[in-house]
Amino acid sequence: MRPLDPARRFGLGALLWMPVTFGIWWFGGWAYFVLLLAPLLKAALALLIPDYFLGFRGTGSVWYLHTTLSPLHDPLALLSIQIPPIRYTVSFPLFWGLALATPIPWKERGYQLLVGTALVVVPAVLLMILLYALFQLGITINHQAVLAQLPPVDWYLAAPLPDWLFYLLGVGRQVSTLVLPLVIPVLAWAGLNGTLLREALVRVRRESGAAA
Amino acid sequence: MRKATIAVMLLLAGCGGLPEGYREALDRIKGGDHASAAQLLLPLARSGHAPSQFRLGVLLLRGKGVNPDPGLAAQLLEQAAQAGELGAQYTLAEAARKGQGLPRDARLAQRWFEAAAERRFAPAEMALAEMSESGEAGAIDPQRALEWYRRAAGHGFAQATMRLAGAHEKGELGLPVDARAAADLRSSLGYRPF
Repeated sequence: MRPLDPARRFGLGALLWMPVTFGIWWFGGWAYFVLLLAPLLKAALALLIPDYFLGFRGTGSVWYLHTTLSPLHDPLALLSIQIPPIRYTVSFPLFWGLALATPIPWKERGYQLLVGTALVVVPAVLLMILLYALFQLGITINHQAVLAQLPPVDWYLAAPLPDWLFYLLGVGRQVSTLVLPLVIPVLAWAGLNGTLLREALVRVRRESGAAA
Repeated sequence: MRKATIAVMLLLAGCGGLPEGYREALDRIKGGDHASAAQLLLPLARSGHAPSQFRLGVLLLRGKGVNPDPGLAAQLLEQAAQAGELGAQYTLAEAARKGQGLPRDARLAQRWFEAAAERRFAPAEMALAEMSESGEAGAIDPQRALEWYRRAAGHGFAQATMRLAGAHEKGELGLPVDARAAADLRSSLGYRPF
């Protein structure tokens, strides 16, 4: 029997591994990913928004950013912003599925899994959640409906951010929610498997040339 | 590369965070322990920390965890407002306008609303519009009121948009009667995702 070419092996591997990694993620694996990310996000928020950052509770499926912002008519109340981290952790099972499906020796797959997760996926997911949190803060302060998001009912005691910064945060939120969770794992995998991809491309060209 | 290094250093230099006592005081305010929060805020307020002056001023104004002291409250809020604390500017103006814990003083209210409005703070712009329309701080000035309503509406204050729509309907604030403009303004408040 002729062995399968690498592209077909990868396709079959993806069919096998994607349900496994997504299943692990969906049925509770996300909890371990967010455990890892919460302290990193807390440190990043404290560094980036020191004047607004009062505290952070990063447990469970909803996190809370406690801020120094007070509503207009109650300067003794303090706002907490909800952050839903799970949706961003979808990058983990996607990258793991791709890495495990790659037709290379198992030792190398394990190496790619660790390196890609630690150096690309974790920082990228952290950035995505951070951009979401900063946008929520921005829309609360500027109190303007933007990009399908409505501001909270109350006004808060803070000077509005410059328009360019507010819209930049809006773009950051859109990119981090709609684009990066899927694109980053694919790019990370492609970056780690450049040789494999080039070989596959050369083979496809050769075969299409032969067919012509 | 050098520029990037300098930018990172500047970023880190600006990341002092909240003073520990202030953070603790806010946590206690959140937990409803106003008395111990006031004790924590006092030394910070004395040292000139504007956010502490603002929060302590509010505690003294409302008599939360401390005996009400309108004089000291006004002094602390004024100090914080002068240091640029927007919360203090608005709260002091609002208290002076409505006589909440302080004697009514429309001039003082106007002064601090204007300071907050300079920073595009729409609720302060709305308050100035209402004051100009009613003549609270001097002569009635519909033209100035219209200006402030427009600014507040432009910065997302829905009540200002509603007032402008009402003015178009009835021909107030020097505006001609224009049902179409009124309807457009009202519909601009509807939810449009994009």
